[in-house]
Amino acid sequence: MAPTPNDHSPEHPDRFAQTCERPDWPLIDAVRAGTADPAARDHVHACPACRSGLSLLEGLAREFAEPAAHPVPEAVDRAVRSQAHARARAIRARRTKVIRLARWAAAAAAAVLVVWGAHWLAGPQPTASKALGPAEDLDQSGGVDIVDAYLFARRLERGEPADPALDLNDDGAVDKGDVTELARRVVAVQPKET
Amino acid sequence: MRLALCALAVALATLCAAARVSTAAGEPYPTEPGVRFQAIDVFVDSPEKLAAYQVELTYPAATVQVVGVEGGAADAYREAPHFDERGKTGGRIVLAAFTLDEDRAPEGRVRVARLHLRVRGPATPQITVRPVTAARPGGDKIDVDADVRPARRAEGEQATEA
Repeated sequence: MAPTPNDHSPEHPDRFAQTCERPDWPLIDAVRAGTADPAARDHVHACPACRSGLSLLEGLAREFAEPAAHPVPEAVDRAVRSQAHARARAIRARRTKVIRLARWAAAAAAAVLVVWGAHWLAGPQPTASKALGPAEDLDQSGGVDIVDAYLFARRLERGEPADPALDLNDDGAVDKGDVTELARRVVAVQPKET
Repeated sequence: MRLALCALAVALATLCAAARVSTAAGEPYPTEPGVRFQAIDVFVDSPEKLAAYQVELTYPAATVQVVGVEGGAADAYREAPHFDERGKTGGRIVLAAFTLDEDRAPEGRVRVARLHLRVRGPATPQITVRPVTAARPGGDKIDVDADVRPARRAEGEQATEA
């Protein structure tokens, strides 16, 4: 079977001997890219069909290599800018809202702290204690001493009813804690005045 | 930040080392020349069972500071008596205690408390004790005597003087 003019396969003994009937595009592209062997390059430059194909391919390559010179239509540009501005405004608004919320939260926390501090300062002080009175003078000796604390503890131990006035620590119950409180007051030493 | 943490660690280590040195030297308090530690015992002499007592001690505040209050020898008064912390430095301290256990209430001369003192200067401090009140079981008041004397170490007891 006679070879066709376009048969440029490497195993063909006389592959570039004739003129091609139509361009061999892969061969031409290899020549254009510089990867073809010298025989192929010589053939493409000698063969009218391949040479015109090479011109076409080189023109296309130049065309695609250059950046697009088409200007963006004004309407499209305006629309894109408008969308970008709208998005930026939305982001800024969201940030401002968060910052405003944080400021309000900080102010509220400070206010709570101030109110709590004032309440704490104005509240009843734990060291304030009632003065000893007749109720604590259990033996009616005219003074309150450790013997009254002893009698108080003895009454509690025996389950005798206790005078509510003996709730010396103001915990709502008359118990051993009040005995300890009475003893504490009995031994209290007033600081020297300087 | 790391530098601050390192500085803090070094400071803590230094403090710990200083504390170990102080403990090893057997000095529980910072001492200065002319300062010594001394313990005194407080006794109450009761003709009857002692259910409650209250005594008042006075001491020269310029040279004496009470640094510790212990209970006494009698079972009923082995725990530290009631006292006011402010009395440790003001020259006057009130001690008081009671027991509801009539069987354990002591009779006679009994050590009811021991005070540890920090004394400045060579002179022996003048310490006085006055019985304020006392009661027998049941609450009737009784007359008692009270006195103080330098503590004597019991066998096996730790030293109190520095």
